[in-house]
Amino acid sequence: MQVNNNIINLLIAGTGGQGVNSLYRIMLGLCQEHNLYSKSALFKGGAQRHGTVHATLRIFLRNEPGYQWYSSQVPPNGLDILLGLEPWETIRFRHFAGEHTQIWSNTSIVPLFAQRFLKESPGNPMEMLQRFGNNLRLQNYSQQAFQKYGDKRMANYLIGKDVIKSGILPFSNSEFMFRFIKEVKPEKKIEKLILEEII
Amino acid sequence: MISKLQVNGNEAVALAALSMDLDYFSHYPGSPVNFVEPAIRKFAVQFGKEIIFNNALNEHIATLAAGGAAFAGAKSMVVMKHVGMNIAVDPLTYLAYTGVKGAMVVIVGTDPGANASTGEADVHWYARMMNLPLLEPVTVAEIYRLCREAFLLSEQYELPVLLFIPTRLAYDSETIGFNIETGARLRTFEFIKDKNRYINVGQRNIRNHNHLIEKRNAIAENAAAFIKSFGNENAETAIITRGLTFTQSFETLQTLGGMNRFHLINIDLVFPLPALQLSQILKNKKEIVVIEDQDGFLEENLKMQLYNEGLCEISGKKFFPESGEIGYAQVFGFLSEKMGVEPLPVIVPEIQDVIPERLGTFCEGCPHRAVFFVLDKILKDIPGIIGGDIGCSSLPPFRADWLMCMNAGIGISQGIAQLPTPQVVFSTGGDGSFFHAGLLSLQSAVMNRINLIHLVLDNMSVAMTGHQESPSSKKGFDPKKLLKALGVNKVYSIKATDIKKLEKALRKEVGKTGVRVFWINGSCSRLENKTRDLKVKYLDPKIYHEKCGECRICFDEFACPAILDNKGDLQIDLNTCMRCGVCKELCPANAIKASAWQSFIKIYEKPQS
Repeated sequence: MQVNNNIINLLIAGTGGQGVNSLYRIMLGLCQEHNLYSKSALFKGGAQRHGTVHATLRIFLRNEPGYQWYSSQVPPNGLDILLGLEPWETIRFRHFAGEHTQIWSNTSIVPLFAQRFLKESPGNPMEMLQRFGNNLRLQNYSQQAFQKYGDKRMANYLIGKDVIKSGILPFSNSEFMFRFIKEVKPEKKIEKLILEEII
Repeated sequence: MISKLQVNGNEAVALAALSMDLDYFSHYPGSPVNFVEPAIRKFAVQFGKEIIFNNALNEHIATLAAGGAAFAGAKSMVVMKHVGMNIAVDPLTYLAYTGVKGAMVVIVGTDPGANASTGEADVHWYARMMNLPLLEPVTVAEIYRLCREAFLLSEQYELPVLLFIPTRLAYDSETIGFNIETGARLRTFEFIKDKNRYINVGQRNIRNHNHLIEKRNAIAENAAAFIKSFGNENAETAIITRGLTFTQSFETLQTLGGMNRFHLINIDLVFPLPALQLSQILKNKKEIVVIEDQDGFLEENLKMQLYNEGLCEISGKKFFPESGEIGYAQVFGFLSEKMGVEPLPVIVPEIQDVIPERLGTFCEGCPHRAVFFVLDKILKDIPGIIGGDIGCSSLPPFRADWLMCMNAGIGISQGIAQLPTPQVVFSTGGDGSFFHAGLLSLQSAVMNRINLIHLVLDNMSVAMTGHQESPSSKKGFDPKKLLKALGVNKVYSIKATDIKKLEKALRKEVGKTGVRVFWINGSCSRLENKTRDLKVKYLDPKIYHEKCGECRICFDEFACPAILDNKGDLQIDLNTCMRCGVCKELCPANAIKASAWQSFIKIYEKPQS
């Protein structure tokens, strides 16, 4: 698919409970703050926890005729940013990615089968991820989040901060951080740490 | 005054309904349209509207209630998911015959691809069967527009009008413009008696049926406004879409420069088709391709209605599957091939593996996990079956022996239990299913003297769809009184976490006769619970390895996601553990303990509420 320079296509993937929804709402909120037209969707299954959750966000940098009829889905190979809060989920959505796609992925694995007596996982996701090439950035965001904030669920904050730092999205670090505090309402000690970062 | 707001599909329905002065709202919660009700409540408060709500116990009741309100002149809306429509069709068929005085819009959440359901059956055919108009929006903004149109159609023709929203669109979000006048309107309602209209039997029904057919035909003749046309009207190839395939087709053609090569037509009013207008539009085409998901309802109707119009072949399902959701890649692939565009390179082609679905599982602290652990344990010793229902009690999907529809727990179990079989049948289901129709199913089992053990897994809400209230959520609800009144032989009321008591009582009932119900109490671990919050704050459960016999029952069989395997050492993840205490109960080596556990329980334990 031709890369459309007027649209930024973002996909956030993870498992239930990792904060995909929160990160999605933050990005959506930032679009609204900037008066950017967007189309987006959040998908989660019936399970409250541990299922696949993903969100797509298409940010229209310019409002051109016909955009209201564009899909909220990312076109094939049209993804600009893939944020994977879990490595299997990063791989699951690879078919949206093209050669230009920038990928940030957590390396902390949530085993595929919560029911242990079912079959083994199909291989090692880290080996598969290595094949994504130079546009891939891997970090154990869950471990970093635990070390820094005492809560591995802050991985979504760290991965979001990294993508904002890259400059691909038209949002600033401080806008992202304030929005995070507003949407997620973290514990006081974590909020304090975030505010200290802003200062 | 037009206001703008970023909303999802559910919220767009709510805004549309309020903008049309909705009076009455009924529903049975079901994904993907389970958030319409809270959205209407929220916006009703915001705009000062007074809406009457009926949180019905099933779709049959919800539909009848909305119909009744519409009989009395109200503008009503009923919301359900596609499988609920199977239940609603009985009353809807009659509402089609009688018509409605006010207005009635039926919102149905469909689910091609079964992303949020146990099935993806195509319910479009009901529109044809009932002769009711069916609208299908393509974007969130169109949901708002067409929902309003649905009310207008319903008022004009005095018919219920269907509006289908697929999962993907229900969860889509965009900024829409809307216009709602603040403040409630004062209305009174009255049911005006009309036996010719409302008495449907024999020839009266035939007369009403003829009247319905006249209305259907009139709608079709005046439906030109529901056709969207793009691209080159003189192109030889017409692409016809409904629903989500429209936006995928539009964007593909626009991006690949194909708009001048095709005539792209979207049909908002999917039934009855504006056949006259369509035959004019399509008469000079050399190729007509319908891109739609599921069975091919639009394609079949086009073929049926335009058969004698001398058109070229109409195809669709020749190119697109009948099952699963049609994705963007499939539409893109089809259209780009038609245009002779090179196929897209596959990123990382060496990864051939299909990443398996993540099967659902019980949340940490879910009371249902404890119950199924006990059932599995018993069934290691005796041959037996676990009858499954749907909802949270059916997570994960392989725990029970079937996963189908609401009340398949008691329903199918009683059929098996009636047969001469050595297998013990443990039927299960949540409190949501129980009040949906399980209560009747249980009473039927009593009437038919079936030897059945049924477990009602009462987590005090209809949990999976957003924790809607169930009758057992209310204080003072006494299941024993209810079940005894139904004639149930024996009723046990047991806490889910009391696994030893549960196992003992279940084993005692194996081989006995009559209908026995185990009412298992255990609040959903996602619901607010002050006692649990205190436990999470003050208890540090731990697996003591010096005592652990490495049986791995807690990890392999109980399978709580909060118990992790750290290179062979089992550990409890304190970030996610909900301190339910069940792992402590089931550990044969007594190796799981929490500091301050005993003294905490003495000071803080209250009966679960």
